[in-house]
Amino acid sequence: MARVNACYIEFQSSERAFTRFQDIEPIAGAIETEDKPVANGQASVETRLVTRRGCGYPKPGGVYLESQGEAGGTLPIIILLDPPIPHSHFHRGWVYVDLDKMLEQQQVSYVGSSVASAEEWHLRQKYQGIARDVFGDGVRIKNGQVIRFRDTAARILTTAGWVPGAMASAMLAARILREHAEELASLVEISKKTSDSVGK
Amino acid sequence: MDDANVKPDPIVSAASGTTTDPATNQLSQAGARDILVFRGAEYWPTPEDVIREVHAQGLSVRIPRNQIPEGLVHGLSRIALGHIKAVMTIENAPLGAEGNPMTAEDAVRAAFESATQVDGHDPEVDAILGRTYEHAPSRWLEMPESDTKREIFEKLGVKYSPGIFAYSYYTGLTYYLKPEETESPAELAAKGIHAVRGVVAETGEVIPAEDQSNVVSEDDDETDQ
Repeated sequence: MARVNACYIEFQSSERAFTRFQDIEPIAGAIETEDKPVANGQASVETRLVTRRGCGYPKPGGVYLESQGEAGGTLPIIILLDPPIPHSHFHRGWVYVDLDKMLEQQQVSYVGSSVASAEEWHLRQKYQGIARDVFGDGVRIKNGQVIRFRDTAARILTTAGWVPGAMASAMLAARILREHAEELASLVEISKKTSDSVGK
Repeated sequence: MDDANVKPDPIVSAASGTTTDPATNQLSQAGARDILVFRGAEYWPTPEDVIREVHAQGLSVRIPRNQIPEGLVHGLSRIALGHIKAVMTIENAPLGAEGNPMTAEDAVRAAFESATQVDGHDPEVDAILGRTYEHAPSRWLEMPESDTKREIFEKLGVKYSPGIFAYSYYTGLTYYLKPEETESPAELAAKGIHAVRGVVAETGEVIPAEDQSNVVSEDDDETDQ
């Protein structure tokens, strides 16, 4: 069963900023993701060499939350915050947080060698879905153009009088952006197969 | 401590107001949930210790097996890292060259560099002053204990408080098999938790379940707080 294609739209004007998370139905050309099948309902067992950490070795029978990065640094392994965000409570275990809100409120900047890749990665996840809705499968926002893509899409929608709303509103947004695809085209890379289908 | 007895703490922070109750199902801008974990000062005396470990080995945080977070998405959800000594402040900021109060970092550095000139060079202190720190306040925590350090901290009113100093992108949940197990428990497998057989790199032996000299529960590290 395909998941609903989740698409996030955010844009800022000089007067206000607003955000919206919307679920929209899969549309023609959009990539649909599916859960990976697990053989016999049980994933295979990985044997992993482990070294001692600050807390010792992993405990057999324990469940661990992990961040291992990705090959080639495509997913940074750690992003440092400067300045650190004061947090009055020490938490045992874990808690859900609104990290975007924390970063915005504290005006935290990013530091470290992974700055560009971190910001690029996070922004791209948000707007790649919109690019696919406009141009179809196989499209990719060009490196370094993610913010311009966001701002251009925001301008197009604002000019068209679009306002965030229910699912129908999200469908309308996708249609408006498709009608102005030429304004976004220079910011994306499209495979030949996809570009052929866009013009039809 | 049994991890099953450790409950998530859905406290709303008075300072940030941004901690969310699990029931609220709040999503980040990217459409995935983010979580916060603290690293205990007993095993990671400074945030820099955590950073070094993550760079070398990735992040691995033990969580209660009956409290598995939901809504985490590979590569989108972020694991915010907290430490009880993440934020450094000073109460008595000296004035800088232009007559403005110095930042905490600048004031403490100036004090240590000044003390070095007066007391003579200590190779250990010089090494720490010259070292690269990704979490700057950790430098002063790692300075060797001495009368000079105590005097500087007292004179400037140096304080450390809890905060979030970094985050990592979530890549998965792992269950470390007990020696007698061949697969993860059904309730965990059903949640997509990846089964791993841990082998000690130095010896090539499977991590024994009962060897408490090697196995330290991260849940126990919070007692120092």
